Amino acid sequence: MSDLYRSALGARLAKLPPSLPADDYAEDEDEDEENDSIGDLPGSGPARHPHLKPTKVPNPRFAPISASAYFEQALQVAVPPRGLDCRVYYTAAKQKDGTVMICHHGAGYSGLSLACFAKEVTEMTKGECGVLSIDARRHGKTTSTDSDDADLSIDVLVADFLAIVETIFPNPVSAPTLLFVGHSMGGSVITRACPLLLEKKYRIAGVSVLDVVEGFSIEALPHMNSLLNARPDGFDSLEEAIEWHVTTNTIHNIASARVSIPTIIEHKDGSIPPYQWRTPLRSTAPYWLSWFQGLSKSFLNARTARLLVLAGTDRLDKELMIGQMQGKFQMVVVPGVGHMLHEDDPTRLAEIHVDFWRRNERVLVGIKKVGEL
Amino acid sequence: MEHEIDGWIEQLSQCKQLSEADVKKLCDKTREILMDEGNVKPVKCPVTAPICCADNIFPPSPLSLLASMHRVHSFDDYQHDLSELFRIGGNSPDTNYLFMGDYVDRGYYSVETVTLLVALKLRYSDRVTILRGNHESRQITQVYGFYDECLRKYGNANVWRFFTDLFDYLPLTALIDNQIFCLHGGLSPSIDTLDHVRSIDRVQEVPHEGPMCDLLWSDPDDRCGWGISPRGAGYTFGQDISEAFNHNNGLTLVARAHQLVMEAGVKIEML
Repeated sequence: MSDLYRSALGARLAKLPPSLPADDYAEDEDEDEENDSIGDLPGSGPARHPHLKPTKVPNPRFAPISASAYFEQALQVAVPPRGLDCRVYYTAAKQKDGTVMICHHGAGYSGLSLACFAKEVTEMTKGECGVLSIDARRHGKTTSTDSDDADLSIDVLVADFLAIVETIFPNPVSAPTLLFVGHSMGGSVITRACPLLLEKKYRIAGVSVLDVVEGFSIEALPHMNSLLNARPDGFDSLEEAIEWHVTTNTIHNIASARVSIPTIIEHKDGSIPPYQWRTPLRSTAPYWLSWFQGLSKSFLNARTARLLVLAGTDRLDKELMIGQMQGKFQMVVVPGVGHMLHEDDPTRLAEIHVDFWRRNERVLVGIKKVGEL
Repeated sequence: MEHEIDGWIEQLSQCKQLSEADVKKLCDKTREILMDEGNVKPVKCPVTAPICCADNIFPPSPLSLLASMHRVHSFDDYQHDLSELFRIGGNSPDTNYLFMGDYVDRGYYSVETVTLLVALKLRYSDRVTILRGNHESRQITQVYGFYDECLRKYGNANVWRFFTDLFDYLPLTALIDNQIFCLHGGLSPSIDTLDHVRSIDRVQEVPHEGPMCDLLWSDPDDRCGWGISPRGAGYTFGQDISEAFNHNNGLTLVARAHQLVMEAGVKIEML
């Protein structure tokens, strides 16, 4: 299902995750209901804005958490050919010949969406596997030196991704083995970047696409705008932004939301409310179709091991259904998670990826790898 | 007993599910029969085998086939597949039937389909052989639909449990007239001979790796030699591998299912 569709849908789902005591929320729930009913009306004015309500004290249960416990380093990497100053979070592989999982988040999120996942992977593999997670253009803490950096079409995102990989690992021969993980829009980026990096002789252990299927994403696009109306324009505090993601079930894991959400919200002096989305999803609308069109074909044609991880049910489009029945890729369906599956259950996602990596990277004499001729 | 089973078959042919108690009785009785079958079940010609595709027969031969039961989406499909099956098999009392796995998980009538197949197995145990596919497993059916369908149709998971317990006893492979080796998935780098297959302790959930897993998960490939399977379980094997296996075991061919084929299924009659 589409990243956007699910995120937006999440805002309409039942509140009160079972892990949280109900009494903490009694008051908020009433407010949310009020917001929802008014929010459904187009142009429904300032009543939607929480800032006009009495400002409440930020709830420390939803206080931001630093990413420093999840990655060894947070770096700004200058990528001059793309006019980007790119934020990357990186834990290197312990051995020189190790593998690094390079992660690309979905639309509207940031590299820290994969923070909990990254920590699980490095712990599970005892550092044999490193993790690099990037903030894409117009996302998180990546900034552009060009005045016009609006374009988020798939070709731009793929070119950015290639340039970032080549900047960090300039020599394909001495670079670690790479395994790409992409959520939603990011799944599309890494899938398309894969053949280009193979051509440049990088060693690629596999591509993993998290919860995006071309057919369903494209079908969902016409419904997107009305669903985006359910999202607030902004928040009074970071705590409130984190709380919104948890109470709307957009993210089922409070610890992950406390790490990942602060970078997708920015404080803007003079804005009402003061905490605004770093990447308003509506502004990305012109590029939605480009993200998803042709994804299934690119995925099936990737000359490396292919993994598709879906939340809840196996909703494949025709091309993937045929590919699956022909045994072209590995599919894992994770129960009990939503669209932000890597945040909802980072441990399970890490297990799936570590198994995928081990299976495809083990050296067996006389046995070819996927995609090897 | 025969009379009772005939009643079940009649009921199922109209796509009406059996009661939970009848399913339990059916599975218990069928298990007794399956326990006596080996991992390599001998089958005699003539045989009708509804498997997926002519591409899946190595080396290629003029066998033809019928679509797999896996994709029964509507009552019409169900009726069509059944009547097609019996049309192909004909009324000859000598025709044997070989089913090569994946009876559940796709479409809306998995429960009726698998119950009917098991009932046919119980009623005509000498003429009907049902092999295990990778979907005949607790883990896979919980993800791909059979578990949910059982819950929906019976209100509890008992029927799912009866069937998945029975699946553990299904033979892994069949051997037609000592010539044609039939199985759901494919070959395994840890299996060289049919005796290897015979020595596997098969009464268990399909493991994640090892020879039994490979028999149910592997796929043939255009590349020669062995490869890691893109599916995440089993291996790919080239024509050289199946030729060597045939040669070592005095076989003429390996026939298998497991993969969808785009061409429409055609009738297959093995001589």
